[in-house]
Amino acid sequence: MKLHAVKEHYRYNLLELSRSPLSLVLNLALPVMVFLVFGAGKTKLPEAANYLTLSFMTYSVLSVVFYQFGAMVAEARGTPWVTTLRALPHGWSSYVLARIGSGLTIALLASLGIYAAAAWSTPITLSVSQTLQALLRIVVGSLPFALLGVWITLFFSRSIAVPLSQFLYFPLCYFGGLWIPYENLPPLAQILSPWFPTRHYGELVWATLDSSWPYQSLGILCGFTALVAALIWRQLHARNENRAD
Amino acid sequence: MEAFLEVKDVSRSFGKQQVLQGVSLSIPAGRIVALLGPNGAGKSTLNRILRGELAPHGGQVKVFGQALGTGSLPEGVGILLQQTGFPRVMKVKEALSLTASHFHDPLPIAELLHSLHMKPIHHRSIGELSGGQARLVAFVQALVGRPKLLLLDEPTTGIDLETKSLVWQHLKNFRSQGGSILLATHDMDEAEQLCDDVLLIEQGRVRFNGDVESFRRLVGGKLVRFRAAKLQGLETYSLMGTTTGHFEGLVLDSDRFVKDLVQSGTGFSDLTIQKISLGAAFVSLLNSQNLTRLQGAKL
Repeated sequence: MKLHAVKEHYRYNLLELSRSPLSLVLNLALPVMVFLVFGAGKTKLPEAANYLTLSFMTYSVLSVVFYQFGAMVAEARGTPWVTTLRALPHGWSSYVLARIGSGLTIALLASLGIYAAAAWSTPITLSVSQTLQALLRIVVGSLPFALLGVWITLFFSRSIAVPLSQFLYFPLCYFGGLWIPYENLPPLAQILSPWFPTRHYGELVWATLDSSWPYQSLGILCGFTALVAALIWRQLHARNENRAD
Repeated sequence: MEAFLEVKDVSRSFGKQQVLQGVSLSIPAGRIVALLGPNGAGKSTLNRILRGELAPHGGQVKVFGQALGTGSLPEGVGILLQQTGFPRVMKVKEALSLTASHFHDPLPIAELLHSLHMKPIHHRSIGELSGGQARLVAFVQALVGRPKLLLLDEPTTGIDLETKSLVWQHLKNFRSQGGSILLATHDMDEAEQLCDDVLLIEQGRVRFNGDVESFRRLVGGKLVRFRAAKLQGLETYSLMGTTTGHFEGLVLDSDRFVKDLVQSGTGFSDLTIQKISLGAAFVSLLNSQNLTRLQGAKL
């Protein structure tokens, strides 16, 4: 990896986004809208409002790093531009890291938008330090999902990667308890919930509320990260048998 | 001296279809090799292997003496794909700066743009450029990292004649400074102008690998052209009439032909005898009779 190349790609990604202001606004507005429709009116209690705000902030980052980022990389893969980039020294790693970085930047802006919407429409009592700590946990915890998005785009053809990401995105959010608190899920979903890495992602973020560290969830997230990283490594080093792109 | 690019006995298949079989090639410093072959010959697959996009199923590729894997190419290699596909909102300067950021000692972009008369377009978006201008940007992109080896696929497609000669001059200068090029092209004029050697692939196999003159000699003969109203007594030669009142054809022994032409009593003028063009040699060699001859030739 060459830091200068990552920085240049990151800078260009943000420039590219700024040249499509409508797409940027939609990217930022969608999670806020989802929160206002499905989250904001659900409670009058500060504790519940804090919990819901963190859940939706987590969801907004997940949607960018996993779904939107994965779809973007899948769309770009195989284009002459990305094929040329991949052949450059440190080409692929710089491109992917910069995409993750710019995706996270937008995601952070979107989650701050949710925070602002929550402050306006719910009785949240999150302190500045709690919010900053939650943002840090949200960003760090999103790594395995960004990697999962990358793996899907590497392993599957372009035509499959995008719908597959869409297909996985829904259960990841639902069973993880990011849309509905997992205690309120149907009984079967509650049983399945701990088997979804997003549940542990949520646990990591929700634990900010009592300033604790959910070590079991952290361990599971670390294991999941290692697993996906290994899959990516294997994929990158696998010989491209019968791959058209 | 070690070759910049060494391809040894490379093979590759897709499913049951063998696309490349035992392809070997060596490009030392300061040589331009034309990669020729009809559509579907395996040129694109070979190019993809050389770019690290595909792994060969057999054989080995070495770049600057190091085995090439799949993934990034080492510094010192510049590539130009057959298709140009920059993001449309990207500006010319951004595309080149981004590329330059991957190299430790890139060429000054302003200098490069100036040398190809591209300064007026460097602030424009790719989407605003003509196909030829975008192609030129891709060409400059291949040069940004101070390459010693260029892998070029149809570099001047869509470029106007004036700019094309500028690009050719760049490539000739590149060679004179010790650079090497593998040039995949269907433009025989380009191959004729630039290349020292020819690698001809057909049905995934190397049919010819050698210098341009040897390639011409394989076909043999010369191209004769003369003006005449009517031919007589030259039935043993395959001559074709042109719309300008000329006749032309390929003859194996030009001295003998001139003798026969004079003796035939055909009234002729403007007789020219030229060595066979690369394009004519290519077409001639690709007919089945000559391929059989090639397969038996010592390459």
